[in-house]
Amino acid sequence: MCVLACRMPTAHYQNRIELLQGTLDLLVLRTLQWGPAHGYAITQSIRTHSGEALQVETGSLYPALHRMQKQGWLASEWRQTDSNQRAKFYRLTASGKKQLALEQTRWSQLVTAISGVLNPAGGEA
Amino acid sequence: MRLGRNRELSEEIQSHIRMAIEDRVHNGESREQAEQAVRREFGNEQLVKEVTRDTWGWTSFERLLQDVTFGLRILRRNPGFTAVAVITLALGIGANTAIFSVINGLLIRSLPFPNAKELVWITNSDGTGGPSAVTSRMFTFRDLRQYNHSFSDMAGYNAFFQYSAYNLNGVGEPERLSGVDVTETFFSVLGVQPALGRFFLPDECQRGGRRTVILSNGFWKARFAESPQVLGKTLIINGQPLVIIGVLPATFDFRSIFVPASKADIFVPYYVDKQTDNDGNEIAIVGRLKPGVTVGAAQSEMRGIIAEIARRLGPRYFPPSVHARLLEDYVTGNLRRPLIVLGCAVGFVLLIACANLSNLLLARASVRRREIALRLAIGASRFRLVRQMVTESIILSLFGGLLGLPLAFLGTHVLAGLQRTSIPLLGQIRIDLRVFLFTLALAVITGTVFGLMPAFAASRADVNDALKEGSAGAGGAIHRNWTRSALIVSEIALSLVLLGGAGLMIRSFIRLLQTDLGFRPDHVAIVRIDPVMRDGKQLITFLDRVTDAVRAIPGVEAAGITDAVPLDRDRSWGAALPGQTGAPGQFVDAFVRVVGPGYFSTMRIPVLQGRTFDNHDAPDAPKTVIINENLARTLFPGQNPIGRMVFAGDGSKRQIIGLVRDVKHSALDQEAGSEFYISYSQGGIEGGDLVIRTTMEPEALASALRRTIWAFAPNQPLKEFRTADQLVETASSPRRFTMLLLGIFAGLALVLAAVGIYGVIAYSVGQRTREMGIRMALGANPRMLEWQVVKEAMLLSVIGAFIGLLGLGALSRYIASLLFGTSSADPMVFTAATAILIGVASVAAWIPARHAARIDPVSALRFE
Repeated sequence: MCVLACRMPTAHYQNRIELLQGTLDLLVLRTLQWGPAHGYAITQSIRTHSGEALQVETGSLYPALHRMQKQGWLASEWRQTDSNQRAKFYRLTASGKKQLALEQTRWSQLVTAISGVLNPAGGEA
Repeated sequence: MRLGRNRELSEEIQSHIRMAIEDRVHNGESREQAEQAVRREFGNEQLVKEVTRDTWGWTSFERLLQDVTFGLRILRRNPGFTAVAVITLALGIGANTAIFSVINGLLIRSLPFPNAKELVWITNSDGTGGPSAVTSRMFTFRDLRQYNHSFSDMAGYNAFFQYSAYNLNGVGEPERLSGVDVTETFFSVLGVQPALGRFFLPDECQRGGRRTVILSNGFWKARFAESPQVLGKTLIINGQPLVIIGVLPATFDFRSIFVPASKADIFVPYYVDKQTDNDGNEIAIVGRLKPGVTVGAAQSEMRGIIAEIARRLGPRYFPPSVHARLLEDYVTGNLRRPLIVLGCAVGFVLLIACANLSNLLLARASVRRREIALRLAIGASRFRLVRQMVTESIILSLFGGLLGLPLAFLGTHVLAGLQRTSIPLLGQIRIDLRVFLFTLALAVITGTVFGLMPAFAASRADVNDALKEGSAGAGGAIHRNWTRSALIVSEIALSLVLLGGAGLMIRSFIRLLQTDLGFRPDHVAIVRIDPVMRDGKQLITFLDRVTDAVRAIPGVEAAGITDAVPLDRDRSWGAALPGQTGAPGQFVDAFVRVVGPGYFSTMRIPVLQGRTFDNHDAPDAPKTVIINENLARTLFPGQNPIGRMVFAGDGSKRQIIGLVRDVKHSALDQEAGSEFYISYSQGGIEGGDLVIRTTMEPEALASALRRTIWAFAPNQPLKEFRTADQLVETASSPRRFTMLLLGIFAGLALVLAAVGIYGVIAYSVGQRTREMGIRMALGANPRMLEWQVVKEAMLLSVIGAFIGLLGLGALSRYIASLLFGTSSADPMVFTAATAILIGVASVAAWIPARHAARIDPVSALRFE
């Protein structure tokens, strides 16, 4: 459970956060819920939404995208971007949406569980 | 399809990079800055592609292809490492392949006959020793062949064929051919088919029948340039026309199987009749078993037949005994052990090479730590990494095998071409499919063996440490140093076993050469003379005159005739005291030499008592004999033999006139047996060797000798010019063969081990540069630092040497039977091997240690 899936380039980011295995899938699926996006857009989106704290490495992102496509959670097609570049856009499939729901539930359970540990017995906060 | 997918992935990544750059430019960075930043952010593009491709799911073949491409790229990027590794492997694999080709040719491949396992070698004793011990009398052969039910057929050849004269005249310079008498069915028993023409017909095998001859393939090539028109032509041999009826195939090499280090040009019929019945033990018998009959069963049946012969002919004839063993056992059985030893030795060399490569890979793995850690970090499985690295090492070893193959071809060629080496089948070894497959398997196994361990060690790298630290840090180093030390220890141990084994063989060989031969072989030329004269008196006069004429040549010190040169011809007759004829056991088996005046002084055989032959021993004078110490001890224990009478060989009573020193007649490593000499003026001689002691190198006299002899006998072939030193060389050749190869392997092992130790110490010194610098800056004595490094290596070598000595103890017991005059626990050899090894290890460590001690503290501290 503790193999790292995502890592910051050393020294450049002060607020480095190490992600748990499987978390990257959740982030990608959630990002694509707003609509189809290409790889670069996904990294930018995660970075912006995490307040610059999460920088997804390409070496993790592309394998994850290709893997999820193979699992049938994502579909892809080549399209023009707004700035007229050709890029490969990924979108959620029906089973991807189900997977997102599942992962979100799991994540909430994990957060609740960890909070329980950090703030025992209704806690003093 | 895969290609399309690859292109698509490239495009996807390119578009990512383009967009990232555009964004940054848009935000006000210069294009150059933007590009740099994006590249840094993106990381290694190849790696990203590769790990992405990993998710596609590959067929194992595609994955292999991928690993191979990647491996090739890595190896191309490190040409120095690749070259060292490939050359080391080529040496190891090449040597192994060459030795395997010998083992394959001699032990694994069956003899080059159809159903070779049915062929049986039949002898009158247990078959150890020279030709006399492996031959039978003709009537024995005839009876065995007639009465047995075990064999589909039996055949034989005259084991003493080399002493018959086949002088070829009429075409160019007269030539002495080597002709083998074979019985009618000899070739069909072996299952050989003629390359041209046919084999002997029954009536051609009768005395007085049509005189025919069959050519060996080599002779046909050399003399007749493989002309098919040769059939029906005649060869004038000893003045008689023989009709050529057939040519043997190139695959049938008579001498390499039956009589190594000899030659065989022509084959003639061996008459099986009353006349040959009177010969001594001369026929060597080969039988082909009927299907399903065992060697043991055949032997008991033949013993019954032999017992019957003994009853019929009385006990006067040779021991009523018969032994049977598989022909291939007879041919190569004695070589099994030396070849196994050589095979192990060369395997050790390869193991040492593997240990070196493992060390190299370990060193390189620490350089690649970051790459490996990164791949682990982005999700590559350990298994995948290990497989990738093992693929790399297998690629290396396949290259090594590829380069080793020409080396093996060369080695095999050299071994097959060894002259004067009496090892059967050696001339026929070659690289066949089996050898090739062996090399391939060896390369793959080698690559796996030396690649697996470093790959595991590397994949165990701690991801966090490796990525966080900018340098090769201390973490994990202890573990890896331990592995490297273990490799060094095993290299030392293996080298010591080889060095000690080679040492024992070398010492045996020196002992062998130091044995008292009973004669001095240096500066002795040997020329074969076969005058082919029917008249005995005429022959004696001829031999006397030739000997005298040769003595008159300047540079000739002494000359004499013998019909059996030591270490060459092996013939024994019985000798007994008068009044003791009849009962078996009373006859002493003794080597007999028919010699002329001057023989003893030419060979420098010391005369201990009495005199040697001179003109007193004329044909009509009382018959005389000279005996050796061994025979004197046997027949006259504690008495003076001079003047006594003995029955010697032909049944005639002879008076002993001289006592001479024992001469080794059959082999260097066997005790001299009983011997006696009779003068050619009083005993049958058909031809013989003229031995000549010269004051200069014997070869320098060759042309003068030819001129002198041709003045007497213009038809005498004199191509064959030998020296006594060559006889000793041939007699010691199987041992020299083993010793030389083992020595070469031990040397190779020593060099590889030295390189390995040097590499490890240099690496560890390199890693400790900083530490050394600090210690020097703090005032440590450079000499002390140097000594510390060397001490480390010496400690490893002492541990290795200890383990090696245990191994050597086991090996030396196994090779004890191959040694001569040397104890298998020879303390001198063991000590010397250990000392050499520790010395070499220390020097190999001292070179990098010296380098370390000369480090400038300031630059050492700045390092990193």
